Formats: sequence, C-alpha cells, structure tokens
Amino acid sequence: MNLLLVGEPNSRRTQYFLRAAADQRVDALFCNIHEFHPECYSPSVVKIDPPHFPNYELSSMNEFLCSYDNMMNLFSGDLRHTYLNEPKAIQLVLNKLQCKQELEKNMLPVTKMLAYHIKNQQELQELLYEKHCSSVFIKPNFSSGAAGVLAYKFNYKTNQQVLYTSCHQINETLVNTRNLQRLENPGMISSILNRILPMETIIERWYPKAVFKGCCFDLRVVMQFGKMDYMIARQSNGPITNLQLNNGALPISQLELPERVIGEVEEVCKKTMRVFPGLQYAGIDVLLSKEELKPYVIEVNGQGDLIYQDIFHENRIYKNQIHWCDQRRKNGTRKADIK
Amino acid sequence: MNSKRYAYSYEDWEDNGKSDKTLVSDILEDKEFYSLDELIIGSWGEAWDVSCQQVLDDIVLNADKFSHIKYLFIGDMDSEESEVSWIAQGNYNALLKALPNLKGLTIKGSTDLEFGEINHENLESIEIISGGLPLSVIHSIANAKLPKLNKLLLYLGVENYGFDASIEDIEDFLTNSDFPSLSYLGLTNCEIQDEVTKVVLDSKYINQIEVLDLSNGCLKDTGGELLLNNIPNYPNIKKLNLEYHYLSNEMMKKLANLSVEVNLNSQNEPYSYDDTLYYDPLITE
Repeated sequence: MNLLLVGEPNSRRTQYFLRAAADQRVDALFCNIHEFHPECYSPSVVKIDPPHFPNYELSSMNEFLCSYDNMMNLFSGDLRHTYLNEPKAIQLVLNKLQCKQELEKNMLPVTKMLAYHIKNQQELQELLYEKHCSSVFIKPNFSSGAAGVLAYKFNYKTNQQVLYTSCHQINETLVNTRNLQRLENPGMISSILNRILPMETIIERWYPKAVFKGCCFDLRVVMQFGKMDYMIARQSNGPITNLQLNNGALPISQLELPERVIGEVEEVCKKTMRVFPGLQYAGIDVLLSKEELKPYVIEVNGQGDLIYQDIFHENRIYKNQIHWCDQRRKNGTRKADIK
Repeated sequence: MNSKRYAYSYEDWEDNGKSDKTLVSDILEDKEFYSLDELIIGSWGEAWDVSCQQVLDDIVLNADKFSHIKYLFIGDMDSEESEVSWIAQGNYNALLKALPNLKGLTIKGSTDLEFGEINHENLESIEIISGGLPLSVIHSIANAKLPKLNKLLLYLGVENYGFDASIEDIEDFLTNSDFPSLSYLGLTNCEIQDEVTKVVLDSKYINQIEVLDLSNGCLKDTGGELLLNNIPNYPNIKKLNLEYHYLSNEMMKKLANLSVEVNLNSQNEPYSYDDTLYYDPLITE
C-alpha cells in the first residue's frame, strides 16, 4: 500500500507532513486535492487535507463548501483506501449543527445552541428578548476558521448593539479578512447581520471565557489516536479567538491551569473523539468558563491539525500521523478491518 | 491584604437560580469572607439587565457583617460578561453611610449610578471605571465631604456612552470640590483629555498632589506641551501617568526627560476615515 497525502500543493500542511515522512524515512506520495480521483490510485493509506478557500468573498463560501462536500462524497465512494480521517466523518463534523447534536446526544458539554437558521436581524433580536440573553455567537453552519462568524451583543432595554466580525464590507461585497473589527454603527451591523443570517446559521450562547493577563482565551486541542497530542491556548483581545485572526497562541504551561482542569479537558476531548469513530485525529476547540474553568466543546474540526508552534518545532503531530499511516500501510489492512 | 472575588458564572444564574437576590447571602455563607480586607464583586447575574441595587441594599441590611471590609469593588466584569456602559449600577448613598470603616471604593459601570450626598469620614480612595461618567455623578463627588480622600480616579469617557459634562463642568468640579488630603488625582479615559489637562494644571490640586493621572484618554501634543511647560513648576508631583495616549514621538522624548516618573506606554495612532482623524479613549463601550 502507498501512503498518500491529498492536499494543496505549496501549503504548509503539505510541506511539513512530507517533511515528517522524510524524517522518518517513509515514502509518501502527494496528490493535488483538486485533481484527486481515488480510483486512479492503488489501495492506499490516505490523508485528506482541506482545500484553500480560494476567494475571500463570503458569498462564494457556500459554493466552495458545496464543491468540497461533493469531493468528500467522491472520496468516500472508494472503499479500497484507508483514510486517516474518513471523508464521511469529516463531512459530519463540518456540519456544525449535526456535530453539536451528536455531542449533546452523548451527554458532552457543548456551547449551547439557542436557535438554528434565524433569517434576519429582527428575528434575532426577538430571539434574544425571548431567551433573556444579550450576547450570542452567530456561525454559518458550514464554515471553517472564523469565516462568517459574528459575535453579537444586543441590549434590548437600550437598543444598543455591538458586533465583532472579521467580515469587512467592501462596496457591496462581504469579504473575510484576518482582522477582527468591532462595530457599533447600527446601519453597518444590520447590513452584515442580514447578509450572514440567511446563510443557514446557528445561534449560540456567548459564554464568558477564562482570562489570562487581561485577555480571554480558549483552547485548541489536537487529539490523535485516542490521546491528546497537543494543546495550545488561543488568546485574544476580542471574542473570536481563531489563530488566523492575528491572535496570540500561548503555550499551556504559561497559563498555570490546575491539573484538574487539564485532566477534565483531556477527558472531554477523549469522549468527543469516541463520538466520531471515523476520525483518527481532530482539532477540538474548547472553551473554559470564566469562573469555574469548566470545559465546553465549541466545535470539532475534522482537519484541524495544523499548529504552527508544533510544525516549526517538533512537528510531532505530523510525525505521529506518519507513524500511524506507515503502520497501516505495512500491515496492508483497511481501517475498517482494524477495529 | 486578604482579597476575594465573588461572581456568578453563566451556569450559576442560567441553570442554578442564582441572582442579585442570592449573592450577598452566598457571600455571608463563605467562612473566608470574615477574614477579608477587600471584597470584589463581579457578575451578579445578567448585570446588563438587572442592577446591583439589591446587592447594595443587602450589604446595607447586613452592615454589621460587612464592617470589617476596608476595600470594596463592585462591577468587576470584563467585556465578555458585559459592556462597561451596560453594567446596571445603583445608588451608593445608603451603602456609604452603612460602612463607616470603608477605605476604598471602586465601581465599574456608570449606568444608573448615583451617590446622592456623600459624607464619609474614612474613605481614602474612589475609583469609577466607565465609558462615560454622567455629570450627576461628577456633581455628587464635587459636593462630597471626604476629609481623608487620598486618591480620586475617574474615567470620564465619551459622550456616546454617557459623559455629558463640558470642560467648564470639569473646571467647576475642580474648583468646588474640597479634598485636603488628595495626593492622587486621575481624570482619565477622556475624549477631551487635552482640555482636561489644562483645567487640572490650573486647579488648586496641582499644588498638593504627588500623582497626576491623565491616562487612557485622547491626550495629544497640545496636552503634552502643557505638561512639559508646567510640571517642572510643581515639585510636589512625583509621578505622571500618561499611559495610552496619542502623543508624537518627539513629544514623548521631551516628556520622558522631565524629572518625574512618567509612564508613556501604549502610544496610539488615530483612525483615519474620509480625511478625518478619529481619536478614542481606551474604554469606549
């Protein structure tokens, strides 16, 4: 069997995965994800990396995700290959609503969803009034990174609003950027809300996050093969902590979290992985509540293994993946046969 | 100093029935409370929707049990919990009367904040953190009888968030107030920080204070120049806090050469839009 990486050429993921393979003297092939036809390859152990979102315009996000979904359907159709992460499992967790429902069904602590598919700002404000809630996150059901994610506050007593977003309106186009902005202008807020909300969004309670040296943070945990392989804190001055928004990554050791908390995070993440047996690895975003440091799963990223602090240092995550893939390759067994 | 913070988490008030009505009784049930010098109160529930008045009233009702508290901070929340201007405060008149041993009071948030007539023999420090401090509060403090007040730190803020005083009002405040023990004066976080600098330098307090705090506001070279020309005339001033400012590099160099300790951290650039420059204080929320 071959070991095959399917991804974007010239990406850091590709570069460092192949470097990990070379370091361990393991032969790994590479195929451009946009050109991958599973039937063209002999049975292989395959890792699928995510494609780049080629366009910063949010209006094209749905089209991109649709074509990505089709890609995953195509890959999952060929049972000859052993996938590091099964395409169907990647698809499942990409659907935030389904992912959350699966976790809740399995009694895992998740950030609470208040509603699904609110159509416009007025409905949203009515929801907040009904739920007696002032602060929510609005997330397109199918999106990656912080694309289209909004953090919204509404005081229904005073009608004041605040919106945090990395979307910027340029002329009539909503563009995803790396810069988080805070908006208070009602017209600008309405314009963005009424374009994002119809994109099939989930509305989640905004939980105050734990704070370190004046900045809130949450955690990205990379789980692999049943273990916690890496944990990093994502610190931010604003409410959206994704690392690609020029937020600060902080080693866990600097937070001086109690052992109890680390243990609880690890336990929650282990249980989360068991809910998705098709995933050998995932990047799990975990929030720690401000007062009690209680962990909640924010979301599960089926391809969330890129941690710069690791690839530029030990490259441990990819090395462990290479080791796993190489073992499967040598055994010549399909993943489905291993259990 | 023995200090402890009490605050409700989201789960406390959403799932477990905790609220402004239960906070003080929860504090009183905590054995550690009785050995504290400083009591810090964070979120009492949905602090944007429910004021802290019940908390203040319950402290007053149990004043004897709070008599050992020297320092009190009410409203210790970050923006994840509530915008500063959304924190629903209360009337502190009865509380100040009920706690004669209190030395320091810190309040965050100025919506619905009231003091009435202030008369306190032992209060040494008042700090009010806000995005916009109303004139009514400034008037109450101006008329206050606080013979031992050593530190006064007010975040004045911006008009959009409730700062409705004019520079003449600030001037009157400095003229009419009487704090003979004042050694730290902070009028900060202000959109008219240059103008505030001028009236402070012209006030009676400039001859008596040791620390002048003009931080977190829109201080520009105009205000910087005033400080450069005037601070050397007041050897009583030992520290000048200008952290978070819009001073030029050149002005910063000049101020750094003053023979007082000067904090010039956090230089900012104005935001430019449509050929207009916009300056914001640190807290405008």
